[in-house]
Amino acid sequence: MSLRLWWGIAWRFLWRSRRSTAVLAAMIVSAVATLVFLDALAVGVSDAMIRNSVSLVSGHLSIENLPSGLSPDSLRPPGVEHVLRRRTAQVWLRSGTNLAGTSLWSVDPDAERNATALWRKTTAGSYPGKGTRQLFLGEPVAAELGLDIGDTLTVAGDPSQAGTEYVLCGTFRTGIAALDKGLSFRPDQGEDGDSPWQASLFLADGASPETVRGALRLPPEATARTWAELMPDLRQLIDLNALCMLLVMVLVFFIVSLGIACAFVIFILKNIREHGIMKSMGVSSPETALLLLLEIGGLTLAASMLGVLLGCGLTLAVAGPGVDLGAMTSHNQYFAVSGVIHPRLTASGLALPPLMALLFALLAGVWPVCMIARQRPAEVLRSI
Amino acid sequence: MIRVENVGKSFISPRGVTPVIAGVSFDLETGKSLALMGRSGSGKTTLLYLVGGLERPDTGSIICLDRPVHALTGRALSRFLREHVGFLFQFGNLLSCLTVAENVAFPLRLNNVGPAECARRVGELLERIGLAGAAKALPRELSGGETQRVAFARSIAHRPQILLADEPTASLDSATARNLMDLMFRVGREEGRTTMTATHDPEVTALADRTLRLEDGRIVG
Repeated sequence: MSLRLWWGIAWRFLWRSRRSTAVLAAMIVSAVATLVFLDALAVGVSDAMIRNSVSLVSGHLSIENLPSGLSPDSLRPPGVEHVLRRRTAQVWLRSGTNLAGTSLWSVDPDAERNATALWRKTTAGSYPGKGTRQLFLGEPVAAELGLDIGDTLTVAGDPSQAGTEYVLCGTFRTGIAALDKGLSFRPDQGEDGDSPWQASLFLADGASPETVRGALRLPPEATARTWAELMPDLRQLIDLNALCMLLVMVLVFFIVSLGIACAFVIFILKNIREHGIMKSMGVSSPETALLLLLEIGGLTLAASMLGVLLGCGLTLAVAGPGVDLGAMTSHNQYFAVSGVIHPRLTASGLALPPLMALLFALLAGVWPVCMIARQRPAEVLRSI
Repeated sequence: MIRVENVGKSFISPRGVTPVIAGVSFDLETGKSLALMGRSGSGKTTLLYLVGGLERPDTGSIICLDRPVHALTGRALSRFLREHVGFLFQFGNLLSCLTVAENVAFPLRLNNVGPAECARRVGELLERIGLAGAAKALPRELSGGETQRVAFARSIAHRPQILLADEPTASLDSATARNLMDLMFRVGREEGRTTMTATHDPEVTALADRTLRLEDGRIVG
């Protein structure tokens, strides 16, 4: 008995019961398409949170304690788009009698503008220019020191030292207290001499920080940490997001599967007469089960593929312009730069919904398949 | 040869145990035809199902073509049915999703007959029943008489040694019924088939080699 024969019969059952087939297929197509899109949206939300968080200042990979003689170009394995060279120092800012402690970053302003988004969060003045004695402070720090744009302040390693004078060129506000109150920026002019520097690596879309870290050849004293290690709270939030999406998928399919199960039971029992007739002609129980499973599996697979295509189309249509959730994310630190979500398709997001559809559809078919397969031909014929 | 010995069958329902066949015994020689007469509920259909293995007797034995049909299950029963038995039901019972030609070909495909032989045999049978032009029609497009003729073609497509017909003319007008019965008994004789027919129609008894009368599950004549 060839599979081809049974597949042919299954196909005829489906094709010549077009109305039932269409209703069942529509349920599966819509469920799969919705889940593909929802998963892409969830991935897009995670992407946006990572992008917003790393693009402000930290980058995807942060390497500390690099010797001053090391060239930034030696930190460019495949996948790295920008390497920012920074030196940090704990200093005191003084304006008159006002005093504030800060972590002062000496940076290359042009490179920072090119790779980070912090300068976009400027609330007054402007980002420091290259080769100037200017400071870029968080708005709360400037307010604490009673400074306006253009005012002069002193930077010293110790409150008792005279320090060096700088001009406040601009202020920023990210909404993240640790940044707004804890970080200040100045153009790097070699003030820190031969002290070790730190590198922030910004990666291309899709590049894995772990892979890039593995490809780096770092001096032994240097330590490299990924954004996930630097921001465990964000990592957990993204994992939570993924888990919620998985739960939504399972729950949606559990609920949808109840509908699919009912529809399949009706679909199979509607044809019980045919199965009784076939049994009276010598079709065995395993063949009956095979036929029913081919019907269920074939319909589910075809509808799932259509659902995946529909979900992909919907995602791609939305991915370009993105979904602007700015109104809902404006006070959220993980969306400090932009609230626009770009849904992104992933292999798991494309594979899981059709696999779940198939699993639940086959589970839904178990009872009617067992019922018909176990009955003697006369019992099925009598039930007509 | 069909040998039925002391066969009994009851059905259990909420109303209790209902005996349908009680102590029925008879022999039917190979190639001969038998008409089962009796009122509705006398046990004709159940006896046909028992002989064809669609139902298991509670007591007694049924030997068909040297096989203990009463004891056949699973694969052995499927094999017996697909190779040696043809069923012709009261309302045709064609597979609604298959065309006329596909319905007739189905028993052949079950017996692994190749496509060329299958097409030849289907063409021959449809020619014989006068429905060569309806090969691609679906069962819902056929009249009652046409449906029964297709069902008959299907029941003998694989040249079974036993044909079991359950009131095949009950839903037909007398002229159509007469034609179908003529065809069924003529082809049965030509091909040496053992035929059992449950019927209310006295005209059928005239065509059959033997007649058994059933009343309340017992043979009364």
